[in-house]
Amino acid sequence: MKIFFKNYGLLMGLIAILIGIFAIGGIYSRYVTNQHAVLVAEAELSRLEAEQEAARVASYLALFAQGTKVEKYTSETVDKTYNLSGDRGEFSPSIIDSYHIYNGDVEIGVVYVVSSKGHEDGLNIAFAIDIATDTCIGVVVIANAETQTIYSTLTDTWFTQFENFQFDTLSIEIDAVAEATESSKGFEIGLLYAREVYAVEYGFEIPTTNITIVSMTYNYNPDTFANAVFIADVIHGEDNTAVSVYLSRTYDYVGIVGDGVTLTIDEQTVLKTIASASGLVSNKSWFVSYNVDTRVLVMNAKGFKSTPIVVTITLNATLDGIEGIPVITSSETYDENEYGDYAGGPAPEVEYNLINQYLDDGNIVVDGVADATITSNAMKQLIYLLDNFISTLTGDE
Amino acid sequence: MIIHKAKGIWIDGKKTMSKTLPMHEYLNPPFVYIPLLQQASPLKRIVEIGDKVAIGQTVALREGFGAMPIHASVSGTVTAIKKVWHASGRMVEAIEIQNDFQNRMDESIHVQTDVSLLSRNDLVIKMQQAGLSGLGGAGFPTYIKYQAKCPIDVVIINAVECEPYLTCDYMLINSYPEKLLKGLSYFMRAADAKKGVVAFKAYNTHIKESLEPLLLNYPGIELYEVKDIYPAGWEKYIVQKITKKSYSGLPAEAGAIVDNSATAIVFADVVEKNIPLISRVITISGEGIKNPQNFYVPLGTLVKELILLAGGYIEGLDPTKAWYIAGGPMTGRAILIDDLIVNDTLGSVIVKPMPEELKHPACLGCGKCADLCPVYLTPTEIQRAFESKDTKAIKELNAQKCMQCGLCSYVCPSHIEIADYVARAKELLRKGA
Amino acid sequence: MARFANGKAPFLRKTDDLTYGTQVIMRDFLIGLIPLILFAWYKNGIKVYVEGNATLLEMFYPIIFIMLGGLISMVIEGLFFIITDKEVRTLKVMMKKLQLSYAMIPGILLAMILPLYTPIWVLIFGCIMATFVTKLLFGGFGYNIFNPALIGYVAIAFTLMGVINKAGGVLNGSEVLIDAIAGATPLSTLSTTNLLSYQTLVAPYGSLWNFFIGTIPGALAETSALACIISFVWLSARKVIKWFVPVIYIGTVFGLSWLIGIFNGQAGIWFPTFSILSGGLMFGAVFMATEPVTTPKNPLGKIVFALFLGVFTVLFRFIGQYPEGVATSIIFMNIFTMPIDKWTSVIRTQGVTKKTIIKIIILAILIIAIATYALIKANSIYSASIGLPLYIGGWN
Repeated sequence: MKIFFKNYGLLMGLIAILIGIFAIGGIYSRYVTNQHAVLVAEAELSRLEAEQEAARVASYLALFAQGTKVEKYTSETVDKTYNLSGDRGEFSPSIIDSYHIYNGDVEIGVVYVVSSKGHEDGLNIAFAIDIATDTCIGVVVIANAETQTIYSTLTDTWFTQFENFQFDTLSIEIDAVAEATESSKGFEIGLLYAREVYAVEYGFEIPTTNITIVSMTYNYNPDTFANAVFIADVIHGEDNTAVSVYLSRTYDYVGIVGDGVTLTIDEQTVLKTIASASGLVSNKSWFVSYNVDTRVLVMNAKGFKSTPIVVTITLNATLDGIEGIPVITSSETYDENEYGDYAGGPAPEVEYNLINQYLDDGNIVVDGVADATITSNAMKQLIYLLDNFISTLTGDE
Repeated sequence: MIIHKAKGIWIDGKKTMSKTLPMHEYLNPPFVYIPLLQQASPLKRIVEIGDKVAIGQTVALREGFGAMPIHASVSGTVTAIKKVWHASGRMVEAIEIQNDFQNRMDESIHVQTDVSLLSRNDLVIKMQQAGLSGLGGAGFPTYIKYQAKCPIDVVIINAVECEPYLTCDYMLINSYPEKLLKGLSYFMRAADAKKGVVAFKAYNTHIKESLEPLLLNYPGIELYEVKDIYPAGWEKYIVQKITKKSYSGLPAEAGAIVDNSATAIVFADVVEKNIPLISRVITISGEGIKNPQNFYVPLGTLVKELILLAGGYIEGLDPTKAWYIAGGPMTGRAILIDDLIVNDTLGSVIVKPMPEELKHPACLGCGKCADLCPVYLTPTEIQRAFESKDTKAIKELNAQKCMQCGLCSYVCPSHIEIADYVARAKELLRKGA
Repeated sequence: MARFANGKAPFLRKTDDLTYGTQVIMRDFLIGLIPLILFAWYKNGIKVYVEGNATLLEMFYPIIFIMLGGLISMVIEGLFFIITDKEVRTLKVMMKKLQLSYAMIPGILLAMILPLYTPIWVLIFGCIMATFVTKLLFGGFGYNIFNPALIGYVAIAFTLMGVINKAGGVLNGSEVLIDAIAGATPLSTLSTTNLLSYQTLVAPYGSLWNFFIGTIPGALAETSALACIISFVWLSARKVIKWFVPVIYIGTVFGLSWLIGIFNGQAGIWFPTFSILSGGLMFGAVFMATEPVTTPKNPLGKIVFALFLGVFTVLFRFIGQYPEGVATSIIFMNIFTMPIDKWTSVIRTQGVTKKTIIKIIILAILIIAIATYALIKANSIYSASIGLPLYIGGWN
């Protein structure tokens, strides 16, 4: 053994060193290489992010004709809550990024990237605001998680409304695209929120009016109900004058009921917004005309189709019921998406079904027809109005 | 210039070693041995055993090229013809003369009264008669140089002595500065040259101090300082520096004659007193000698006696681990037996313990040998050609131009005997040719 | 009568002084590598670590890698000695033998010219090629024909570069983390774009100052011209290398590149400066072109060798598959070391005579022809040429 080591000890020692280097050095170099790969990946990611950020910043700058320089900053926090469209609750937008835009050393604009919500969270929109004119001069959509088939109905033309959008307007309203109301609303919330932040940071005064709705009812007066569908009791003006006003089916101001202090144009505009958002009344059904001599009442109900359902009803001589069977003209087809499982006959079967339920027992609580919800809802409202109208005529309330 | 850059390097001269003691005159050794060899020529003996000889008596003749007589250096009796170790590294036949301590002079030795009347030719004949040869180490008969056909502008006295350890020329000049200048002026007359130059190494300020005041009496003689580098004492180097001319064969081509300083001093005696070349100064030095010093001795003296006079070898010297060098350490020859005699070319004997034997790596190829070679040889290439016995290549590489200064071996960082390879290549070339 | 030792003149040797000799030369050579190693460590380890882009273990990788190169070479050589030499049986004898053959140098040099993150086993392979194949099989120290480190490098480059790339071997540790030009060395940019433009060649790496300092992509330790110059001064002062070899080599490349620049309408000084500061030219010129064993020994030979290196480097940069011409040209010229040495020795000792003039003319024609070819080649790549006479342009 000793001799063996004497002869081969050195040889084996050297080989052991070589193997040692191979093994330990190998582990070491592998560690370093892996470590390096991680770093490279991280660096690649942050590089990509920086690249995108640079592209975004460039696109912001491009919105300002005079812009030469962009500077990122942290904006003030503003808490504000908005109603989402379609009764989906409330939402508080937030600012993700904010940038000052300079022309040389002169600040000319500001960009807020607002995280809003359309159909989904994560609708991030950059609003470019010109300081001199208090105008939104354009938007850049940073990210959205909307259903793309729907989102794509927001056309370039639609987006042009954000160009030179005066903040100095009383109530901001974005034209909703019928197929993409939720996304449209998201944009509107974003714009409103951007204006709020802008107001805080730049001392801009958001125009306001003092008008609140006390209550809202339907107008059952046959003389006026064709144009003035609703009557709203409001308090307005600096001295909180109470007054009742007529509103059209689209909540436009029609006129004042009786005497009182008329509403200013601004108040009328705001009233339209808050009335439509109040949810106190429904405009799915309305009166068209009533002939006192022939006792023929014509009503409309808005179903799925844009052409409303027309219901012609003849009241009986005592004006406490209906004489004969109402005549219903309907262009509903029940074959839209929501009617996929509807198994009944063609229109106006649903309409007759509902009104006959009412006529049978005079109860306004009627059962909707399964899988024809929109048409049913419209008809329910019509029945509710009709019942109230008859009650008004007979005077028993 | 990079290719032909200033050659030579500084080497520690170790000269103070033999300078501290004064020159020792040892004129009467019991025996002298006159070797029957001058340069590479065998001599013809003209005395027999039992003959009485006087100082300066002719005992042998060199014949053929460079014919001249060789003289007895002491008075006494020829007692034997014997082989002795010679500076050439071989055993050579020599005439043994037993000194009778009477210092009888041959009649040819007499004071020359009409020195100024001697013609150029007379002086050259005197050189030949005196058996004058170069004492620097080559032993070339001096008169041959003065028979050259070329016009001579300048006679140069080589007092550079660039071999380390050697101080024999230095000591001699310091003892006889006047004689040096006299000898030089006679040389100038013999060469019909207008100018004489004494070349010495820069650090030798003593030579300058002792010669400068005397120069007034010797018009046409100048001093010339050369750098303290090896091989600054090389004939060709000095001639190039002084005449700014180059030559390929003899210095005469450049209009110059170069003589050793010791030769000049002897020549002064030759001209004025008709004393032939019978003595010289020899340096006994080296780390192996107890009291290194210079000796003024008759030619043929045994070096052994001188070493004893110099205190002998240092204690504990192991001869098998020491060199006994005839001549300077750069160009000299290792003598195996310390039984050497002094001859005309032997300027020194150095006894030097060998440095520790180290293992040295192979040739690294640094090229320092080629860099320093004074004749621009590439020793490594010559070595390669020698190893393949390629005489054509050796010739192309100019190996024959090597003057064996030894610098290539000196600088070799891998301790390769590169100078020896070149010397053997030279030998091969001579044999092959 | 005493018998003395025999010996050969001269009896004085410079090596008697222990501060002189091959071992001292090699020691000085290793000292000369220190600035480069330190810079390599700074650039690939310390700097990256300080910037927070590497862990502590990673920081030490460059220096450990270089040291390992030397160690591996020593081990390989030791194994070779044990197998071939019966006397080598103890560590002491082996170490003595290794000391005389300077085993660690090829390994260290090889590690210095490899990319960072080269796996260790690739380094072992390179060291075997360098030490065993290139050095020991040729007879060991002093007998090798090719530069061991460069052969190791070329062997790796031809066979295992893919492995290095796959393992994340990049040419500059810190550079890759900064921006997108990861791995692309300036000269590979040149060979892919074929555009002599300051914007594409120099600007992505900062300025020429970065080239001088060495913070550009490249192998582990070869990028810093500054460190090379410091080493150059040290090695020249210690007479380890001949100062004129790097100067002539770099000067030739500079001059030829200048001409190429002028012919391509880039009259500026930046292109030749860029050329000498990139591709490890400085490193090759100071440490490889002066490597004594594999280059001519006489000074004239060294000059001719350096001139050839210069023209070949420019040529290979424009025709080679690998953009860096330095390694290729040095290895290529190693083949011709012996004939060059022989010819130039004759020319040097004989001077310009009838016998040597033909050799001088042949050498001169060769150098000029290659230089011209390199110019034409470069010219045909950059079609925007305006300077070369038409008849030369005609035959490419």
